[in-house]
Amino acid sequence: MTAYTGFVDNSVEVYATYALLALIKQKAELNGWTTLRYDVTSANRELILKGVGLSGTEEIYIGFRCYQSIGADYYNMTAAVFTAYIAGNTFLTQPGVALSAFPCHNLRIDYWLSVNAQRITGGLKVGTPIYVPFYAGKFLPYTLPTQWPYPVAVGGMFLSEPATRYSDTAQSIPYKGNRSNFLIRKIDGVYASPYAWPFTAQYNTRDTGTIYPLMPIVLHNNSSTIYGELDGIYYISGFQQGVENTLVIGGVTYVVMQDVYRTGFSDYFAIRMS
Amino acid sequence: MAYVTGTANTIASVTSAIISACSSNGWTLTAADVISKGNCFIKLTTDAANSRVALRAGLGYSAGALVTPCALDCYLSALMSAEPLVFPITYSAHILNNEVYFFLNWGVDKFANISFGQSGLQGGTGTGVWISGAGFTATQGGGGDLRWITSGNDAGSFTGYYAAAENHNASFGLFAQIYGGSGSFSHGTYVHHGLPGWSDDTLTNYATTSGICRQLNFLDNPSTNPTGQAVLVPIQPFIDRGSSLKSIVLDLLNARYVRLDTINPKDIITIGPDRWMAYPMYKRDTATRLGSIGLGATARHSGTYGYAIRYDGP
Repeated sequence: MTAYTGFVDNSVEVYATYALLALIKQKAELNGWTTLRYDVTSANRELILKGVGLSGTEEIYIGFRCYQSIGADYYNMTAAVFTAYIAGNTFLTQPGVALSAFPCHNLRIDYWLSVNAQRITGGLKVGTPIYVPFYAGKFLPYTLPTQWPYPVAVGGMFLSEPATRYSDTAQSIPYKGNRSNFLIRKIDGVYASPYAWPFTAQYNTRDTGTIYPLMPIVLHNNSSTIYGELDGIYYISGFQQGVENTLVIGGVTYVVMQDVYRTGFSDYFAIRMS
Repeated sequence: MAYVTGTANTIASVTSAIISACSSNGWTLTAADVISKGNCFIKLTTDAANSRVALRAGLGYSAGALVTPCALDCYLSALMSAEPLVFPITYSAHILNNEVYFFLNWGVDKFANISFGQSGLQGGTGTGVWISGAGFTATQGGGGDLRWITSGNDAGSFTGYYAAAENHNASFGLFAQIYGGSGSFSHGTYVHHGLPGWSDDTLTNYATTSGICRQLNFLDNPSTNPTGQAVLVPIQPFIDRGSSLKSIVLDLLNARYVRLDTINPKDIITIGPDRWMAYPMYKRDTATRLGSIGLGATARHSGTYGYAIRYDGP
């Protein structure tokens, strides 16, 4: 897994979102992904990737694309997962498509990008600023690969691709679970919005003697099934917490992100960055 | 790493079995009634009158006494007077480096446990020494009866409730909270975490700064993976830090919570290279898998709540 931190802006491309799409393509190709489509001629630029997974023998299909409106003043991107790729199909008609959009900006986007061969995830700082995450690819199922061969998840900030700008105050991160902007492909091939522990816990945590334990985000259906956990995304307490904090555990660096503008005890998560 | 099993004819023999199993598998026999490893010192006392073994943890042993002991004893005994230990009794011990898990099994399907050791601390300045027992703290024979268990409270903890008139206390061990219906809370668990010192699960401390609880409320219902196999859930005890905030203080290396809907007690669960032995918290009952939450009636079982202990036997 490799992580990348920096910013993109409109100095090379007309929109920062175009530059972010190019950056994702570049870093994905360095980490086990093959570009199946990179359309830079359409206004809604799009990227479709195929990954080999952590085993090196898998076929994982994900995609990203830009959509924007100068008049409505939004410049957004979309994360997507697919079950296959058909060259003649549009982005939205690829097999098994599930998607979630996330708001960006046309001028500058600061990014924390974490890429491995089974998923691409990250956090973005946008606008005033607010912080938004995205996730596309496999999560870590509590099953054997032979039992559940394609456990993928897609998470952004919106269901589908609404005309909503980054200043929207209702948006919230997918990782809190039980929301339409977070989908997993279940073992039966149906997409569902999972619950996510410990965001579903009935209590708040704090540090342990200045140490902030990371807790895996466990996906479940709040009824009978535990699906697994996200890869490289962790719950972290918001007690005396600050966005963009970094912590090192066992030589691995993590960066702390917050839920858009929220700063409560349960409004933070950490991204594995190395 | 060892798995030891056998039969004991008396409660004193149970005490001897714990000492023998540990001292034969990497623990030091510090005194005739004290075993130790690393910072963990455990003093065992047979309480024959009440058919229980009292265990207390400390950080050392000097001049015939534990150094920096926890406040009170923890107990290995029957969980309720209505279903006392029956001898000869079967025991099994999992000696897993610095962690020890000891179970009694009697009457075919009833279990009790005591566990102790030194595990990974998440932070703080303590040693990570801990002890967690399942038994009575009041004398056995007073009529205590398990009324219900629940992991659905805001602490996400397992609690044994008792009828209001019965001032007897038992838990299910392994960081279960204990509640006596008359308001008497007992001491079933101690962790030396350094925030500061030891904490236990008494009501006073529980509500304020140092109660032990677990991250289990998501295990109330979800319990299997999509193929129907039981999921092993890590045990990471929390303590209360005040203002409704909690801190993780411990990581148990060799124990997990598990629901026993499709797993029988003492079944071996194999996951990759790891093997785990399943135990009910008290007595498995698949018909009422949540124990008797909300029923308000006597339930002498623990639903399908259970433990998986790393198994190193044949």
